[in-house]
Parts: sequence; C-alpha cells; structure tokens
Amino acid sequence: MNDRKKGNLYGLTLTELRNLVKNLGEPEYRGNQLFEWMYTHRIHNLQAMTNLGQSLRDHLSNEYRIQVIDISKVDESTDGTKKYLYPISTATYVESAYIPETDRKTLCVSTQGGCKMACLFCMTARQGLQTQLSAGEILGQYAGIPESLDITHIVYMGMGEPLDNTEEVLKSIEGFTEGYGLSSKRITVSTIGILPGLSRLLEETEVNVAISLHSPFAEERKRLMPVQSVYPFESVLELLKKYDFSRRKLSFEYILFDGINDTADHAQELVRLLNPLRCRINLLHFHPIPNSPLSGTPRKRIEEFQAYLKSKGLIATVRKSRGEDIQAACGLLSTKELVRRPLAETLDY
Amino acid sequence: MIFVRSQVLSSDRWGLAGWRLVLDWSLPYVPGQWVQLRLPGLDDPRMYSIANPPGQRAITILYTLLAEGRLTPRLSLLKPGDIIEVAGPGGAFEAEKGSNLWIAGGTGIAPFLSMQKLIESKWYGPNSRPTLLQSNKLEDDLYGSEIFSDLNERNLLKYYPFVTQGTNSGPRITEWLDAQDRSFFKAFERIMICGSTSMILDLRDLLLGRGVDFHRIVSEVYF
Repeated sequence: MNDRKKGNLYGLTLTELRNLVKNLGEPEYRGNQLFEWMYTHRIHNLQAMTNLGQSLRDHLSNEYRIQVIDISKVDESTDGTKKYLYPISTATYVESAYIPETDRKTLCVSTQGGCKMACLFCMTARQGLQTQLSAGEILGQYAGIPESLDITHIVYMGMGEPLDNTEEVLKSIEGFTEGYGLSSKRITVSTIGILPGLSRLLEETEVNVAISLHSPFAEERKRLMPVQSVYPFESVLELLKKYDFSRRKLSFEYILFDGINDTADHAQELVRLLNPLRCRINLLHFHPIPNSPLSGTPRKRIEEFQAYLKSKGLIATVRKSRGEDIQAACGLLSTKELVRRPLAETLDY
Repeated sequence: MIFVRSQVLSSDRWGLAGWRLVLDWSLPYVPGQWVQLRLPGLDDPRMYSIANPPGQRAITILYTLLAEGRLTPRLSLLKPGDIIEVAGPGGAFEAEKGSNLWIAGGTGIAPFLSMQKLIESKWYGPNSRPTLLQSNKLEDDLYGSEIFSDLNERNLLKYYPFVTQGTNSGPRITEWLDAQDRSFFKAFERIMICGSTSMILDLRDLLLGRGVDFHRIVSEVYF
C-alpha cells in the first residue's frame, strides 16, 4: 500500500493502541509495547519493534505508518528562540516556538490551524478556524524537532484555542505524560475560558492552567474577546474556585494595551478578583499586529502596574518577549503564509 | 452545567436550510442567551442561542443540518414528545439601551429573534429604534424576516435584509456598509454582530477602518 494511504499510528493513546491490536486478534498488552516503542523509545520504524511478533510487525507495516508532521521552515532569533512552521494541508500552516532559557527549555505548541475565537488583539484570529489538529499533530511539534530531548516544559500557547479542540488536546497531554514521560507539572494549557473544556481539563488532568484575562471588566473584555459573551469570566472564576491549586499552577495572562486596560481601576479590580485565588498574573507586552486599534503599554508603565499588583499581595510577573526579530508571537508567521480565504459563494454575508 | 430533560413540542423545517426545534422550557432567560443541547446517551453537547422571546414556556432553537455533524442529523429526526437534555441558560450577549446596529449572518439571527419583545415594548424608545441588517445566502433562509418586516412597518425597527445568492441577490452587507458615510456609523453607540468568525472578522475590520471605536463593537461567534 502507498505509504500516504496507510493509517497513522502516531498520536494514538494507549487505550486506542490496545483496542487496535485487540481488533487484530492480538493480546492487548501488545498495544502497551507499541506505545512504549513509539513514545518512550521514539522508534518510528514498525519493523524495529523487536518484541512484537514478526507477523504483527508485517501486518502493521502493511496497514499503518508512524509519521510525525514535517517541518517546512525554521527561523532562529538572535536570542536563541526558534520558530518552526508546519504545513497541515496545502494552504494551512501551524507554528511552534522553542524557547531556550538557562534553567528551562520550553516548547510552545499549537492546537488548531487558525482560530475561531476572533480576539481583537490576536493575529491567529485573522485566519479564522482552518483546521483542528490531531493529537499526533500536536505531539509531532515536540517529537519532530532536533531540540526535542532537551525540552523541559510544554505550553499550549501557540495557535488556536486548546479547549475548542479538547479531545485531541487531552489525548496529546496523555502522550506527553504517559508516553514521553514529561511531568504534568511542566505542562501548561492556556485558554480563553471555554467552560466545558476547562471543566474536563481540570477533572481529567493535573496540568497547569493559564487563563487569558486581558480585562477584569466584563463589558470591556467582551469587546476584546467575543468569548466573554458566551462564557463570561465570572463563570470561569466560579469554576476555578472549586479546584485546589496547591499542586498545580493557576495563572492569568494579561496583555497590557496602552490606555485601554492599564489604568489604576483595572489594577484594583484585578486585585479584587484574583486575590482570593492561589494564582499568579503574567503581564505581557503586546506584540503589535497590522491594522490593530491597540498598541502596547510602554515598559515603564507595565512595571508600575506590576508594582501595584505586587504591593496588594498578588504574584505578578512581566513575561520577557522572546524572538521578536523572527515574529515568534503566535500566528504572525503562519498568517503570512496562509493562502486560503473563504470563497465568496460560500459566504452568507 | 446541569442538564435537565425537556420535551420536544415541535420540530420542522424553517426555510430551505434551517430547522426549528421548539422545546418545553420554564426557566427564566434573558434575550441573547444560549442553551446547551444533548441527546440522552450522547455526550458532547452543542450550544445554541435561544431564538424566541422569554415568557412563552418554550424555547425555539434554530439550526442548520450538518450532514457530517454529530448532533444536528439526530435533532432533525426528533418528534413531538421526544426527550432531549438541555442545560442553561448562559451567556451575556445581551441587549443594551441606546442606539444599536445589529448585524446577523445565517443562524446568527437567533439572539436578535429573542429580542423582538424588547423592540415591541418600545424599550428602545422612539429615537433609538435598532437597525438590523440580516443576511443569508437565500431569501427563504432569512429566518424571521416577516417578524422584522412587520416591526419595520410599525416603525419600531429599521430592517435591511441581504441575500448573497439566487435571483434576489443584491449587494453584500460588507458592500452596503462600505457605501455608507461616516455619519451612519457615528449614529450608533453599539454594534452587535452575530455570525461566522469570517463575518465577524471582515465586519470588524471594515468598521474599525471606518473609524468605529472597538469599544462600540460586541460580537458573538458560532460555537
């Protein structure tokens, strides 16, 4: 069979692999062996899996392949950050960013091609939702890069809203933890607060959670993030308060927009909302995007904002911008590469 | 969310592409809110805006059938008396007083359909009746257009229908808006948009380009 027509085993969970071999008439533990070869030992050649019987190896080789997504481009920043671009289809690209620091090496992964959430400040949103990534396409962003073995932390902060693709994200988390042996404590999923997905993430995993907040005021947040009309932040907060964050980290992401969400009122409201929680707030500088009505708060005022939050007892950090010379902020590179626009005849407006 | 069992009161086609599901419902809700629907034995609920005004002891759900979808093919088979699980209401895509421009694409008209009693009650006042731009591919799928046309005739709403395909197709909403002068946009304190992500992105770009402050734009994407 043509290799492209074969089913791809990469990204399947342990349960899925056990079911697959069982359906082939093999004992379920063969699925565990396959899982270990593929993820723990990083062997992608089915014939090299020597503790599987020859007939099973032959059968699997005829019907399946183990294919990690291809890298089509890599850019390296002067600060060591690397941006990888992957073609998902002929017209859709996703990105990941490898961010080396002295004490950690972080990989920022994407979960969707594009995004449908239409946040005002986000470059990926300009693409609309192009495609959902499979667990294999998420894990492949890790396994397919040369720095893979050095990576200590995974953050789901690349393109797309992870919890608009919850099932595949949960499978990929299982791949990272059970397969590649990364600790849940070193994995962070960032979300705008899709409640059903957030609820599952909190129930079914132990990973860290980062919530994109960007305004403590509902009406203002609605203008910045349409999701606020659907899942108001107060409902997100209500859900978070039911969980214990002493063994996993909870953080809030807050991009500061000049003259918009960086006032004393905003700082006071953040303190009121977040102080009851065991959490930290990450303040981010805005990476400008074309034709945006928003601009970034100057560095000095970000520091003043941070100082106020800290003086009121919040743990507030200012995240360093990385890879600005290679457009490492999510969506910048792939949006440039995107060639598809909806056809006029398919539109209802 | 907590799901409760609700009885199907009716289920029928609405236009050429739409379906209308009416469910028994007694919980209060605010126009613009959504509910989640789930069929017994199937997880993975889907969210729909309520498409009728409160106070009817029933909710109307407007949807289009997606052949490859998990829920809508099954929804279309429901008959009066069948049971479906419903959670909600939720969300905050709510009407606000003042001068409003509402823009809806496809089934994005649902939240505005739930606001019709507010319009009829003259909640908006004679000098700030809302302006509604409704668009779909075909004229038959301008859901609720007879209601909005009636409100238009009674001077309670300014209603502009748009059709992108078929014999009655005319300018698109984007083209029509682009042809308006700045005073048109200045007249609105708030612009509410409900529809596909691509519609929201295109309209938001257009509005920002015409000098509309982003604080005046509220949108809701399909979930």
